[in-house]
Amino acid sequence: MMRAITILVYCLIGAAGVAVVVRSRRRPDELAPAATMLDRAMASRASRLTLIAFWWWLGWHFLVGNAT
Amino acid sequence: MAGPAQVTVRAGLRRDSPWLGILLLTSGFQFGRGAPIAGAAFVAALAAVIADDLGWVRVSGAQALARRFSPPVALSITVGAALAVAIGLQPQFGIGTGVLVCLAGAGAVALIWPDARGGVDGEGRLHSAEHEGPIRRAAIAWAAVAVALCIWELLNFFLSLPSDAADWNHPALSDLIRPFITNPILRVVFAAVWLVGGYALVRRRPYDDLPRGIRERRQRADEGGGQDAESGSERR
Repeated sequence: MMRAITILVYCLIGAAGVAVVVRSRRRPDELAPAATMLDRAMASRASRLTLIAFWWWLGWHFLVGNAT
Repeated sequence: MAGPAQVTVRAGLRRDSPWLGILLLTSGFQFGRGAPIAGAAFVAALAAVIADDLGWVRVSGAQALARRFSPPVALSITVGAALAVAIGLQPQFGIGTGVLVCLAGAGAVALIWPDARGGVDGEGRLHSAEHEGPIRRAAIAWAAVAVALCIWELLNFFLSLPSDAADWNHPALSDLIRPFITNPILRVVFAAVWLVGGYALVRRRPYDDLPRGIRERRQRADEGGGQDAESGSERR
């Protein structure tokens, strides 16, 4: 039961992300599209390095694992 | 009294302090959970940002190199697909996979290092006032989703520690996803999606740095949206 609830909450958070994407595509004057957000987020070198570090970590974590 | 250089350094560190905080917290968490390589990677990113703010990093010709190194989309797809297959065919958690992932990361850092022409505060539509409201609202929405995910993930990480039963009842997101990518085909798919995400990040550059054909198409699309905005249409 608890496992199901845990998975359900993950699904709800994912659905919230999809809802943001859908809303921004329908009403870009209200909510900027993800592409515009990325353009702004990638404007400074610090933010670029941070986002790339997280992107890289996703690949490392799932493909290579916890190498201790 | 601080000279102009010191004022610039302080301003840069202050401007980048949120990102420095994120990198510091994340590296600490990675070390705490027993992932030293991941922790070291975030420390390296932190050090790079600080060194850049202190003016210690000067990469001559980086911008010209990045502009020259704008491969056609077809070539990017081919290379990305080959890399995804190579990663998928390697043993999971193997050294070969680690090398390929590190190479992809190093390549991404090299591509995103140069600033756009004009720098952070350069002119362009990205910084026009009409975008501020929608961008602020989108930033809040995405931040809410990201914070919710981080909190739920952290909560389940700590709740899963006491016992095997607790570990089963409170799986982390990676525990749910990882069983699927033991399959080599699904691992290729995951690697491909990961690389597409990286490509989406490294190609987010203002107009001036884009290859000519893409730059002209984006400018025409944007001019069409601007004209619609003047006529009162809802289309951006």
